[in-house]
Amino acid sequence: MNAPRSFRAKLKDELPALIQNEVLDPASAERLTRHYELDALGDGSGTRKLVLALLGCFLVGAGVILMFAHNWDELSRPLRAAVSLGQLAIAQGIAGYVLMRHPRSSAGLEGSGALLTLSIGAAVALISQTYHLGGELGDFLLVWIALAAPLLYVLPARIVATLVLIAAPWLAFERTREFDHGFGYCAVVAAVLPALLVREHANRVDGLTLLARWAFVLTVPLACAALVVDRNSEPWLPFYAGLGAAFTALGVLLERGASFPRRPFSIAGGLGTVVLTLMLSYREVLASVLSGYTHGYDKSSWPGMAAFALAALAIGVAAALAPQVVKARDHAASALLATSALLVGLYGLVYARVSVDALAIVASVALLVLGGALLAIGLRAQSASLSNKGLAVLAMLFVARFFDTELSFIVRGIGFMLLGAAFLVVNMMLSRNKNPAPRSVT
Amino acid sequence: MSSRVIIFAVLCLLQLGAAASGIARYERTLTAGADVLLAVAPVDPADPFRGRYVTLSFELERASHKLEGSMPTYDEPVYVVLKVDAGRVATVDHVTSDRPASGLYLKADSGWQDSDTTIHVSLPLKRYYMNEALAPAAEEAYRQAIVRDDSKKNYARVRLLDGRAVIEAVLLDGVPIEQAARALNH
Repeated sequence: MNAPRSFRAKLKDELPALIQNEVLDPASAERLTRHYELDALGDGSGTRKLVLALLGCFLVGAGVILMFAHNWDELSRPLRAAVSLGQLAIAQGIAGYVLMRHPRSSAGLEGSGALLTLSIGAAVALISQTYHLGGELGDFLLVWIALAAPLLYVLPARIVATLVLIAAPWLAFERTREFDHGFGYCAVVAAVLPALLVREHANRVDGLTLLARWAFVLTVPLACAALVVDRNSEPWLPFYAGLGAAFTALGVLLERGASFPRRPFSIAGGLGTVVLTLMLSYREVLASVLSGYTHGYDKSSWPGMAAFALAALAIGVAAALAPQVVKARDHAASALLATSALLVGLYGLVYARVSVDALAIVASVALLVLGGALLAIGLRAQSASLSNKGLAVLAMLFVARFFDTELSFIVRGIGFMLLGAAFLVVNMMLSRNKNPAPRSVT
Repeated sequence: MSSRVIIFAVLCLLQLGAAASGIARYERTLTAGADVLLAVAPVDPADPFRGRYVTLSFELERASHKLEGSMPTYDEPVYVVLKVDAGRVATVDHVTSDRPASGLYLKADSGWQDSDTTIHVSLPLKRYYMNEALAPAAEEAYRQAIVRDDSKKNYARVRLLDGRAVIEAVLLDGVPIEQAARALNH
């Protein structure tokens, strides 16, 4: 059942009136309710309770942290220690109460989980402040996350996972003194992911699950940059190509038929693949692929080997999921996977010292083919969204080449007019096919 | 009682234990540690979670020091062995990568080396947290102190125990920095 939630909610609202006006009989309404799983929608009060509980706990927790940040020098050290431990114990008590008395209350578990997570941060902050501990922000976050992350396994609170995932990339870049390399983030993801997967398996995808998914897809590319980019290391190209393909494949498996904001994997995978291909159509970027190699980057060092292992993992996940994408007959996703495979191939060709000028042209052609393929698939499936994505890819390529080629203004002008006309024609065609003129009744 | 509640209780104890052991460790250093003075130069930034603080830059971090024993490897901590004069002012005797069995020393990060026998160090004491209203005035008080007479010394009063150091106070020409900042605010 892939109907959008907004449609299901509207249908649920309309059903009583449809029965009352004898448009539908009760049996048909019952069949519609079962088919669209309308009972699972709830009446909206659960979501409202959840949002209010989360907001309340966030405000209280953030307020406590800010109050402590003022630094009350009138308070003695023992009193500060008591406040630090006391507020933590109170938050633990609230979470424990919810766990024992209301273990099925989503609002209670999520809210008390958020409050306890913030209370742990407040306790660590107050102890650091009282004893003038000199660690950087990354060290502070590491202690906070290490103490909060295990909560996920007892308090089924996805908001804790989201908070942890959002905070974790800072570890990669803040802990420069210890040369974290991004491993802090990888360890956090390894700790958080099993709990999230269990929750996803047991429940329908709701707003908080989506929030955790968005946190995951946005923070993985960012945090892993500390390992595969910041160290001037070689495998950033195969890593990001593999990651884009893996996200695209996960999107096919987990998000089929979902509305736009409910497709974090598909959006991140598709956008990432297109942007990466566009970047590689510049010879300067291609020339930088091996900069670590040419500047003596030591592949045999442990961060070097770990960066390659991460790239192999991303490609491996994508390769393992690719057959299921083909089986699902999702041609747009297959085109994106083929583009990612080509990008991995480009890395091999750069390594083989093939001219970067020639490879930049290959990347441009790949983008042209991808845009054309998405447009063709969209037209065949009568999908305005997919057709526009294809046209957007072509437009990106045209704009990029507008600035770095020596074509005359006339040629560039004609190119843009043709592209603009294509946008208009395609959307008019699809709109006409979707809303055929009413046939006259004779 | 369900196993989930028991695990939650264990986690709570771990969280409280981690916080309490930190407090106990630093309290023990403050009460039982040796009292020394380290020359400093403060400036004033802020931390989004822990509030305003005065960044401490120690004079002993600016010079290179005699390295005794084996050369520290990459990321290996070193131990700064101190000698103290009659006024409790500490200076560096030598630096070593082997933990001393006794005496006054503090654990630090190894820095760059001028030669095989000298090394720079970076102390873990970087921040002195202050009331948000006082921290900017503290920096100004320090600036005025050095403008008036640059021979007057500013120190961090530090307690040392088993290589661990906790800052007890920052003194601007013998006056606690909070007192100097309050005087300036009035």
